[in-house]
Amino acid sequence: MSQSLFGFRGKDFCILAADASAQASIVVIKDNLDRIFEADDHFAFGCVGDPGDDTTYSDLIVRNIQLQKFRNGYTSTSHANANFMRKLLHDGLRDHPYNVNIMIGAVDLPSDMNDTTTERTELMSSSVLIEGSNPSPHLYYLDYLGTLVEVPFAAHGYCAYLLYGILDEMWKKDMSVDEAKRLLSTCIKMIQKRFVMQQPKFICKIITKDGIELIEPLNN
Amino acid sequence: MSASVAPPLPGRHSYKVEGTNINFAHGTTCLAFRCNGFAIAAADSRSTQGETIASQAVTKLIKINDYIISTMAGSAADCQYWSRYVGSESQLFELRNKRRMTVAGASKFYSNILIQYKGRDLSVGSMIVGYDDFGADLFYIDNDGQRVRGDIFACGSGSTFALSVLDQEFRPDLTEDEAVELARKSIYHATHRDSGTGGQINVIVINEKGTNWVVKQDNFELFHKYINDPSPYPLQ
Repeated sequence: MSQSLFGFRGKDFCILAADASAQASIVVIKDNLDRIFEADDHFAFGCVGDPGDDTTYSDLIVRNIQLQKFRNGYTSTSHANANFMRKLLHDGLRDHPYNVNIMIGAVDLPSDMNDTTTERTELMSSSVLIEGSNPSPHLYYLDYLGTLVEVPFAAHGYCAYLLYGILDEMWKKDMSVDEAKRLLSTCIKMIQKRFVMQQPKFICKIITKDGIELIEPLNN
Repeated sequence: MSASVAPPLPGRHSYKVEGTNINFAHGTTCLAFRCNGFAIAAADSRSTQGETIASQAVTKLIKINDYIISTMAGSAADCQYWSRYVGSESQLFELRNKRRMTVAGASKFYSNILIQYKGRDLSVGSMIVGYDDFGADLFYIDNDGQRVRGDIFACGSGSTFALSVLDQEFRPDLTEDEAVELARKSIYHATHRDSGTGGQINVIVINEKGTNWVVKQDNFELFHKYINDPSPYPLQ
């Protein structure tokens, strides 16, 4: 709950941010932990929750998404991947729950822009045709119970109490990258000013049609 | 009456076995850090059972193979058993694959076991320290299933005291001698302030030549070396 994870959607990109501290008991044991996993070229997700569960679940997802891509010869849509993640959480819910909350950021490329086309796709590509001609960004909120919602912005944990006000107020449709970086900076500053736990470092990633990149927040 | 002035210390795992009067408490200080070309593992040697000191001569630095050491905090039984298990599997790996297990590999193997037993009262907090083809490496793993790579870790009830000393002088470019001295000093200060920590101080250096046990020293010998002004603790 004390870990911070939030994200929002821009014009043709998504941004995810998560604090970079790892805790054991009262001690900070690592201050550069990357909680934002890159499962595919245009599909990333942040994962916070019970220590142990977070990495177990995330590794499982990353490997399975890679496996599916390898077997099929094409990338699944972010909608398919998100629902796969939801299914895995909900399948285990009553039996071996993963206590993790997830934020997925992805960009779907129209079929003619997808560079993963192989010989095999040509035979079976009809199922992965994506409508439209522009890359479409998607942000999904997914909680430990398996609630999956597509949203323009969202936050998990205590930071949600601090950030939803800012995001409701300042998030705009079709934001540019620079505007988004400024919003990112505002959010991180808010957490660092008002949240009791110290979270000196955040790892922020942007998902665009060109892939996933680390970004720094932009000060006003 | 107890003279408790602080909340319970982290890492001082204490749990009661349901339906019995057995109450285990485990105090320890282990630390490990990584510099250019070598890594250090250090620990005290005290074993406690509740209020009682059960032993002052426990080996908390367990050899997994010639190049990997695991440190032991939490339940001695769990740590010893599973470290030995990882050790034997790493030997089998070596025979099968004609190369040594990496530190990342050994720690992942260990961590996978702990994840399987998650929620079933295993009590393990361990640093896996070693040297492999990629250089010196270090992981922290625990019974929650957490596994993180890093440069400095400490574990056990005295870990906060050790870490506070270690953080002051740690640099990645320490020489082996400086690093050993820093490790010894850090553990000493934990023995000084934490009742669960004491006995002998052990320090192991791991480099491309393998593991080398460099210090095995009673902490009492070190009082006048490290406590500059003994006046707060007058002999009467």
